[in-house]
Amino acid sequence: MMIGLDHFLLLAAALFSLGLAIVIARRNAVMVLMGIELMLNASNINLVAFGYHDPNLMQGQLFALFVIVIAAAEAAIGLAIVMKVYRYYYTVDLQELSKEHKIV
Amino acid sequence: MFDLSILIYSLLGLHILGLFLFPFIGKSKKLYLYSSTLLSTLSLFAAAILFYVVYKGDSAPVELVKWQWLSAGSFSISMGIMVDFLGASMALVVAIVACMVQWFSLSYMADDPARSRYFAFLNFFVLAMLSLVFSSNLLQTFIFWELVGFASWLLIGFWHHKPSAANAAKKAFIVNRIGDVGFVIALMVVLAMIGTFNYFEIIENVSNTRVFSGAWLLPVQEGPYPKFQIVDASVLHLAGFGLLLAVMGKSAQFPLAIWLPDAMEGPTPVSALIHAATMVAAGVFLVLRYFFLFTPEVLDVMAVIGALTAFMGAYAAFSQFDIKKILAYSTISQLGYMVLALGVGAWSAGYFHLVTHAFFKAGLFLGAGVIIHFVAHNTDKADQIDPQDIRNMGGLRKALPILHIFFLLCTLSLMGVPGFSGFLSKEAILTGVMTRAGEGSWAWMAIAFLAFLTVLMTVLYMARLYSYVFLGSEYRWAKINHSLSLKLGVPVAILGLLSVGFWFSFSIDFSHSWFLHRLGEPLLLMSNLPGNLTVSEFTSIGKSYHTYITFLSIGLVLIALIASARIFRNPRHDIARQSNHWFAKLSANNWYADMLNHYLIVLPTLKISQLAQWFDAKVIDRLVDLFGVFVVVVSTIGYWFDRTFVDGSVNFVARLSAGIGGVAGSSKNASVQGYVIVAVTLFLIFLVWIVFVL
Repeated sequence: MMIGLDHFLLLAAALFSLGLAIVIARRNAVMVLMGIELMLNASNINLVAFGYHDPNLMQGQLFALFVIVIAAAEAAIGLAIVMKVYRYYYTVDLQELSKEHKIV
Repeated sequence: MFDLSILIYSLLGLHILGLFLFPFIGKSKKLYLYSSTLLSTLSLFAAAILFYVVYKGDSAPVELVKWQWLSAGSFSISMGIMVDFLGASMALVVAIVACMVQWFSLSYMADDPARSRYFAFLNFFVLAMLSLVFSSNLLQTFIFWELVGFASWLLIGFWHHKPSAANAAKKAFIVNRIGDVGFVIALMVVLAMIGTFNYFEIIENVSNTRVFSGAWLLPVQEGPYPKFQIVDASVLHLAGFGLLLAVMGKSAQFPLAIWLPDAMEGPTPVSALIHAATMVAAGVFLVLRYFFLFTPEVLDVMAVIGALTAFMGAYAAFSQFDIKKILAYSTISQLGYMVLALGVGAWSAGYFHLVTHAFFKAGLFLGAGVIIHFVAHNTDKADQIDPQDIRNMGGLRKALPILHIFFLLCTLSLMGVPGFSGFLSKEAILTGVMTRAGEGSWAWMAIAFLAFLTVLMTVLYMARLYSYVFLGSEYRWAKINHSLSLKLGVPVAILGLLSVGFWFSFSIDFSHSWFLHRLGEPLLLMSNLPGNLTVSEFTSIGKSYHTYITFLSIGLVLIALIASARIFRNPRHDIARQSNHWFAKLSANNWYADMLNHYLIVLPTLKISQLAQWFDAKVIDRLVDLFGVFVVVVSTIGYWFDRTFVDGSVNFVARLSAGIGGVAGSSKNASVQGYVIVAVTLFLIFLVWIVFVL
């Protein structure tokens, strides 16, 4: 069986759904950040897969590289914020932060 | 060879200095007045040296200086200084008259609080005229032509607090503008057809053109096979008629002569300047310089206008009682002679008369100034008489004996008595007219008749002036011991002496005059003009008439003198005193020219402007108002539409968003993950709607 574009797209969709599910369902803010990372990676897979079929090549792959760099930066900032929130409220539970502290 | 441009620079520079000293030392009146007069005397010396050098030198006109003024592509306009015998002699005449006028004004205007300004204006006037004389470019001539007109406006309206003076200045200016329209038309034709304004280049370009039976051939390509552009010759007539119109305005010819009598409102020395050297001479000088631009047809019209003006001016002088008005109408008449002479082609005769007239008319005006001064200062203030009215004079022969002599010299010269300069130049003109009339047509004979009739009338009205002013009872002035001030007397004396004939010719035959011989012949380019006369032709063609003309004109002068001796011995016989007589009425009102002007031009203009005002107020303003109302209605509708629909749709979107946001953010699912769920759900619904519905 040949591995084609469809497979990559299905994989990416599955990964995206997983990420989305984690973002929606998990209460831990660190977990939500990890879900966001999964969704970004799903889009990266899409970019690389489409980039493979791109007559100019490289465009999608190069874009994916940028996404990875920005995702790393975003994760660093997100974790820093989570650290600060934890220092202040002694919790990273999103439900708790929303309902009791009204910060998100 | 002496450098002429130095002389011309100093001639102009002295007057520029005289003008620009005014802001610096104009406050100290005595210093400024004397320095200005001194400068003008120096400029007289410069003009005299210039005249002498040119007289001795070559006769061909030369361009001494030429500046590039502005250029666009291949076309450029230059400014320059040219000099020839015509320009140098004209400059000398201007300088003499200007110098005399300044010396005269020193004491004549001594009581005027604004006399510094007056002297500055005089300098400006003379400067403009001298620059016009020396300018080598038609456009440059036009610029100085306008400056001369502007200076005359300043000086005629010098006593601007008097409404009559302000009106006279305005009238002179506006009438001259009518003439200037013609000048501008001529400028356009010259630029379009000849392609240059420079005097020498115009001559060069025009001499390459040909006039054949109603067509004017302009060379387009030179060489062995020249190409020509064919233009209707009426274009050439248009240029000529344009210049003629300008001359009619400036030199006060028949339809446009109405400004000159009113210009008497200025100070009397200014009248001397305007009538002799600067203002009216400019028009004649323009024809003299650009004589080759006038076609035979234009010259015919010019002759008719000149003859009419000569006759009408002389006739109007009959019944005036204002001494300056008489002299003003006499100037109109004499200018008519000059234009007539140019029209019949007697170019040199026209210029000769301009020069002789400048001296004797300036002398007459300055003499009239002395008389007015005398009368005004020797009558009781309680009398409230008009010092310019000749009926209030009389017997001044004994009161002002020296003035009487020189005034008489000028008067005799104006009358054309043999031995005086006026006789010589008038003979030259009459010979020119008769030579033209000798060709036979009755119209030319009528013009010649008018010219001779004017000789008779000139003697009559001047004899009338003389007898009113100098003869008669002397008792009124007997008590008064009046000595003529030297500053007032000397200029009149000099101008009176210059009116004597031997300055121009030792015999009474004008054809022996050195002036006419040195002046030479006019430059002619277009075609052989039928009526152009030169000195040689005066003596050959004109010979057959010459003797008759001399006898005829001397006879006319004698008859007129005898008649006036009988008529004016008793002033009650003067027809002008019978104010109901048609002759006196027509003359005193100058052919009702002012009335005609008032009813035919001024009133219609006022009516038209009133009509235009009414139309503007009642129709155009209403339309504008209507448009304004329309705009207000449209914008009200637009405002409503904007508030209801444009703003409404924006508001609707905003409210919808607010509604959805309110539902999503309600307390039930108020957490960050609840928002994500709502957003994702809505996004999915949207996606489904796009994919499956659209």
